[in-house]
Amino acid sequence: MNLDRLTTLCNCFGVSSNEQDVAEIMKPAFAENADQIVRDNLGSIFAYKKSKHENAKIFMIACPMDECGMMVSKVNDDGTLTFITLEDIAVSSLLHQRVTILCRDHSMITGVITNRKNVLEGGSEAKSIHDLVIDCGYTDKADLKVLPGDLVSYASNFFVENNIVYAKALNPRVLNEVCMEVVENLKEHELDFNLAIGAMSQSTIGFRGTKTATYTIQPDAALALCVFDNGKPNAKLNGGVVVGMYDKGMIPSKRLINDFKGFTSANGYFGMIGNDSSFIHKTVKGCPTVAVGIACGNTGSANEMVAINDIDALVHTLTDYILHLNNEMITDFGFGEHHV
Amino acid sequence: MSNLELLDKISSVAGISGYEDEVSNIVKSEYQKLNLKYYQDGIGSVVGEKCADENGPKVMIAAHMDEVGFMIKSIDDQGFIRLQPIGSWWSHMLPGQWFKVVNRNGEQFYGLMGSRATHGLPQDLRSKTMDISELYLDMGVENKQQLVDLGIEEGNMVVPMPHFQIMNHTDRVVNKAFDDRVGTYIMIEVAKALENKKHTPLYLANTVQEEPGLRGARTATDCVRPDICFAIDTTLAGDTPLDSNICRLGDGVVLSMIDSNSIAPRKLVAYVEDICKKYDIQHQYAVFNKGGTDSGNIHKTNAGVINMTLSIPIRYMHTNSSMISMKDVENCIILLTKLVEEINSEIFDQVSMK
Repeated sequence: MNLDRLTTLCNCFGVSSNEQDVAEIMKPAFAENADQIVRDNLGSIFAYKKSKHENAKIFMIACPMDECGMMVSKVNDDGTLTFITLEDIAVSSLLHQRVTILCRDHSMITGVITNRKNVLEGGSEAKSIHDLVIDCGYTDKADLKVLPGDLVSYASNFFVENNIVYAKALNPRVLNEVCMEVVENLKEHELDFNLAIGAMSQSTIGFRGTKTATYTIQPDAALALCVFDNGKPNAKLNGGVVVGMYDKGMIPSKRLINDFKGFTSANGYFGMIGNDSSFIHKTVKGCPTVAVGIACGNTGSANEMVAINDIDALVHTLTDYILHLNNEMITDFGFGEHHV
Repeated sequence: MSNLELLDKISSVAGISGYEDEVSNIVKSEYQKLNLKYYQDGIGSVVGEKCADENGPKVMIAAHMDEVGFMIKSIDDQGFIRLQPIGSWWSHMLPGQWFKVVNRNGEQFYGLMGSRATHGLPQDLRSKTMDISELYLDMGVENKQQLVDLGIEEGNMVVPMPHFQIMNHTDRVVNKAFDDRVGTYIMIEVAKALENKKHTPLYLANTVQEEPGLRGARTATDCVRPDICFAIDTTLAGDTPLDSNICRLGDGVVLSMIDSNSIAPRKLVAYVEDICKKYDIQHQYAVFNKGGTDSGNIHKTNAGVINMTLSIPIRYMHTNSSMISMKDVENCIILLTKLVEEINSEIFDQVSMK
């Protein structure tokens, strides 16, 4: 596992709608190890291995590109910032966290999320987002160059201990890293099907790039990479690869999931929250899709946790699975030719 | 120079989601006057084209023609009408208001939204708002047959009674349906401002059915396949004793940074801000992730579109009488005109998200 590259990924600013720094990190690995790079108009980025076979099917492996974050809604007269969350982050996950604000000129400012109370006398509690502001250490609005609409991310340090990575944005950065390592592993291999593997813009915020990327790639079958909550049955740190058996967004393709589970030793996970598969499987003409990933602890917080063993296991499993696949199998996952 | 007669005409005409014919007729006749080609998509959005043969990225401006209102759900024997809301309404704003019923021939009739007798109203009812299902329209008739004789039936459209009013020698105006007829008005004025000019290909999409789910946005975008799109809508002003946010009537055209379905992309925002500075166009920001606009569907249609919403601050949105400032409207028209004049392939590369 390329720890240096994962560190760079986690430390970059990749909040929903501003993912180009992530694309820049992924480009070299994709350019050197695949035939071409495919983008959609929202900035999603895929490595594309083009098969020499005629009528080759298209297999897509896709993960999100954006990390969860916030947006400044008002610069207060006292120099603090009122903000909204872009995704469903609990208020308790926000209080006291360090954040980075991306200004219009691309410079970054550090701040801390605080409640408006005197902690020593009044206690530390925040019931709603209206209790919170970002404090950047300015006391006058006039000195701040932050504007309404500026994006905000967590600002946690990246560290590894006991083979566990602690950082912000491990979801989806570990998945971005997995995509690059799989492409690197496959460099010397020729496939009899087309393979698109990469990351989709504005997915975490609401599967927006999921739709545009699926439209662009037009897959015949797909694996959606995602994280699963640590601690639930069948999803634990160091527990290896997990496959989604059910969630409220998709019932997975039977033939594809039976083949995947039969070939790998992935654990089945029953959850509620959907992931990219929710939209990949039903966008354009639709295609057999399965969600695959690893456990992540504290997802959506400033300090997520992922096991290095799991990252490696996912890379190896996906590499082996792609080498096990062929055009005929991908065809058989589906339901016959699409007649227009 | 505001064309208040046109704004009055466009906002006063009746046209709820799915019943936009009269609005689209006005739009089409305005495009005819300007010699613009136009067509309609599969559910009725009108798309006008200007300079379609010129070189450059395809720029689309979109505004929705539909207003919030009601459909007649049922008529009881006494002639009281029960309603299906089309778009979101707060029941508190409805009892006692004037409405118009439009039958399938386009004939219009007066209706008064019913309310409880206020005398002797017990305190617990006095302090509550009604459920929207309790509302009814009083047509003043004696029985159902009188309505049947007028051609009024289940499914007919019900809209607020229009009352266009300039407020007391100010630049503030009030009427129903400024959400989003002011957007339609702005698009027509932009087309007029560009009348004898050549510029990048421009598509004027007057969409249908935004209120129930951004539907015409999706279909129109599929027809046009734009490279860049600006949706024009209204956004909540927070400058009254009851509502507080950073958006104010008269502070200029609003760059909407986020809504519940889309985020304005950084590079496009930066470019729009540059144009505002270059031409000294007064502008402000809105960060409001509860409401939605056509951008919600436009930006993620097909392979994606570089897209954001420019808005007009509005007080009392989704009521019978909303208020806007013509100063903000003028700023929006100037901004859009300059954007269309200046955008070219180089700018498109600059704002690309790839």
